[in-house]
Amino acid sequence: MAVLFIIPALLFVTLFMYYPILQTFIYSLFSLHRTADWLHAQFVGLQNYIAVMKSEAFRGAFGFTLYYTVMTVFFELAIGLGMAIATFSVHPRLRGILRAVLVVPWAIPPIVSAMLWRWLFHADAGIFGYLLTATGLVSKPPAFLTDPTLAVHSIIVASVWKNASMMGILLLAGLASIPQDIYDAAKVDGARTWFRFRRVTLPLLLPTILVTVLFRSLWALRMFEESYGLTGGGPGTTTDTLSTFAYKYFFTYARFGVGSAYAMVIFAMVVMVAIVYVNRVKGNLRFKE
Amino acid sequence: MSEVYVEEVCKQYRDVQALDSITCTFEDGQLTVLVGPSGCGKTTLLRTIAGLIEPSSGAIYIGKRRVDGIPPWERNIAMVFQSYALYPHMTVFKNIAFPLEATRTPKDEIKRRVVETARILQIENLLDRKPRELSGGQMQRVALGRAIVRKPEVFLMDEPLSNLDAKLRVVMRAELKHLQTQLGVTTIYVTHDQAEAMTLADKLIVMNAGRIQQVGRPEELYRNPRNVFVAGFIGSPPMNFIEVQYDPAERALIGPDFQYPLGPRWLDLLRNRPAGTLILGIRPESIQVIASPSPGMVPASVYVMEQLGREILLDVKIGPQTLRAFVPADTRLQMGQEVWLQFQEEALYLFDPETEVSLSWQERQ
Repeated sequence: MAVLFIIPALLFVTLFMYYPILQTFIYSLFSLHRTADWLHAQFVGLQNYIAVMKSEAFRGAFGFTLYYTVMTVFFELAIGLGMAIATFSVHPRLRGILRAVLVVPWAIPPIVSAMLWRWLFHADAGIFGYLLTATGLVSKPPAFLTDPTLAVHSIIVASVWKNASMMGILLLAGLASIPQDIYDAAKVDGARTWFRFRRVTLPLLLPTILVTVLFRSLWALRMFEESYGLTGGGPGTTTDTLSTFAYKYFFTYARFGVGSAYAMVIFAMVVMVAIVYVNRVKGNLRFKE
Repeated sequence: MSEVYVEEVCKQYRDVQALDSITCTFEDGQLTVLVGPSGCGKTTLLRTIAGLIEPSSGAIYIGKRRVDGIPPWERNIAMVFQSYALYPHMTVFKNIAFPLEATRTPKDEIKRRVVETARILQIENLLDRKPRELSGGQMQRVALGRAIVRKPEVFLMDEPLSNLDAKLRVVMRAELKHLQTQLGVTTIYVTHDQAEAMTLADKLIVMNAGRIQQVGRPEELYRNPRNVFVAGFIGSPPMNFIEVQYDPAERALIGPDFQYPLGPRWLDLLRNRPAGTLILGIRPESIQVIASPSPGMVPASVYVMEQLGREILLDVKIGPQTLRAFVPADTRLQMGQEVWLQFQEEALYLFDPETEVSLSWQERQ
């Protein structure tokens, strides 16, 4: 009987997760150009993978994705934690309103937010460029999205704006789950604000922080919309992520074999990170029981 | 060690007056119990003294120092919570050391004092454990340890024994009392359990609806309650109350099914009072139950008998009203059997039905 209840979920997962993964894996072993007919294509073994590893562009995308992940997750955590603590320390009635305000950036669809930021960063029509020139800080608007270094960091800024609030909301939930008595006990025990934060709040929030960082990192490693929407991977391939790269191979160049190899590499990386984190998080979750 | 003095403290929540002009003293080195039903304001008062709640008005002094407006971490107090509120991520050692670390005590002194505290509470073997590995009684000891380790001016205890099972509660109650006497630290103890309050208190403060009802030593409050609330709250089982009519012409109280002739002491106390309703109070232990009638006794019928071993707790009916009384354990009675009750006059209380104040309170004091 019990099996019957599992079947719908199993079917769904098989059809939409395992089957595409398997398919991608098979594609990645064949030389496929402008065709997905792998049965009649040439089997090349791991050659696509070797090509991926050798490619300068892949290393570039890999480097950017890693840099992007570290930077966004770090700043989102810092800002999110700040927002969570600020929201938590106001009056409960205000807290609801603040929480609603917090969630807005996150509720905007990613591609819409990317477009929004694209206009804000626009060299001629963007508000940032205008403000910088109007206040006389620079003589002409910076090329936010076309200068390699600026483009990388513009994307990071846009991502942090969008996702810090999600971090904030999750951390706020974490803060609220710590019993009030423990905060009160620390207060009467003579602990000042900073000491309380460092010795009580932060350690008790750590499991939540780890889970949040895990989710956000996995998300960031697969980042697509911000690059695609803001710069399209440019200038050149500076802001191509692993995902936009795989996408380009699939849909722009129609090189399904190499594209699949890319996809498999991303998949393997994400799985590895997930395993490392889950093991770490398990150990840290224990004292919450 | 210091006296705590609370002056005219009010706490107003939106539409609730949680504390209504509370003025009281918690004597130096004594254990004072704040007791009352839930929602009476006792915990609010305790938290106000702790600094976790700011009063709407009034002043709080610890020793000579006025502390309202000062944050809790500068009040030099220690608090034990009902939930124990141990830090779940720290070992027992770290939990007890926390107040010392927070106040920047030197490392070797911390170690010395934590070990000494653990020895007093007999938890030396638990110092490396985390709270989740402890039983309720052990957590209770750690919470106490965290409170006593810093030698505060005042202990605040918020229902500290309520989470323990009945047997352990009695053991810890005795230990707590012993520890408090030994340390001689001013202690304010909140409970809703009147038995706990009676056994622990040097002084009792009974609260209800945000006001102090009566202050005094446990036996004083038992012997001479100021009003119906205190009379009904202190003592277990609680005092019996019957509505009666005072008839000056008959020199008697007229009950639903009886007439009770008053003695000279009561007649003297009631001499300026017109005829009218009064509330008669009598404790179960002051009622004598007799199987055959004699003059001045109140007829009743047996409703329920509860054998307690040492005695029987009897529920009897007078008309529609139920009274409780004790009879010796070997008494043979049957349900519905007619009995006669004798109220000892000196154990009788009369209350004004409007103000609910005891008419003999002034005289007995």
